[in-house]
Amino acid sequence: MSELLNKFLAENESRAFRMAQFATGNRDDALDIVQEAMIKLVNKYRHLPEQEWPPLFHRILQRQITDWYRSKKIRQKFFGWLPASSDEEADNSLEYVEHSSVRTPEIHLLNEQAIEVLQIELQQLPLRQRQAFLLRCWQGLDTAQTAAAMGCSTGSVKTHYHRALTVLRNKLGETWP
Amino acid sequence: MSNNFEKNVKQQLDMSLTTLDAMTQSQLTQARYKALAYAQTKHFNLGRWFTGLASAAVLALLVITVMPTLQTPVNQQLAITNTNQQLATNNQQQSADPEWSLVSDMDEIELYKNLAFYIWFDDTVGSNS
Repeated sequence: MSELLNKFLAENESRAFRMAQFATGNRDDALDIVQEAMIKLVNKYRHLPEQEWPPLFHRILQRQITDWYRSKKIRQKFFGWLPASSDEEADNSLEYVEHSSVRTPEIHLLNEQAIEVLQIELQQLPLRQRQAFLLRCWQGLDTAQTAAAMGCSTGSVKTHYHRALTVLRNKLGETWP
Repeated sequence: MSNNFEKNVKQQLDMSLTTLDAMTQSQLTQARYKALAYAQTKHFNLGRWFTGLASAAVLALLVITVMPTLQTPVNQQLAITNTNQQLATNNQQQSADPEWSLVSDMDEIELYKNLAFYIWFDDTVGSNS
């Protein structure tokens, strides 16, 4: 059981981290969110069949991200007048984005720029639109699975996804037709 | 066209996974091990303890507030019974005591109030007869 869980988490941790990073724009917060999601899955659902882990993990992760947004809103409400710390500014500068030694410098640079642009555009989307887009387009979940992960109706998922897709196509269409 | 766009985005996102820096990958692995280790250790469940303590406190509060209310009629009955018994005992004692019976008997009080008259009356009537 423990090995299966280890394998499942290892396969999903990078993607979960990227999703959290797109949502928060902060590497440390993204790591905290992923760790918390892993702990919750292991703690509560490790006894369930292996097939049930992926939707549960997505659901936990999306809930963690939503909770992070809520706590951020509260922090901004009460402590918004304080200046932002230098750590946050450094994290938002995407300095941690990839260092691949396999690709040539040119490809690496192009790839880095493309990801950076995509990340910026994704971060500008509203939370629900970003969740719907990443789960549908990247994670490959269908509408019903996405609705279960987001805790909303399938109609809402369709709306959020369509709006996200329209915005991203308008902004990135020239880069990726 | 839309499908192409989605494919391209997906490709870029997938590529971003393979290019995570070593430090982040290491931290993710640590987080995974921590999560797996968490399952194998027993933890002090603060929530469960709090629920238990809260239940015990509510129960204690109920015992303190409700029990005296339930016991009051019984106490009152006991008090009334005791009082009645005491009165009955007092009455018995009083009836057995001649001085107390004199005091309690109003006719006899009148008699003692007018004792001089009755003595005079007795002497007068006795001497005449």
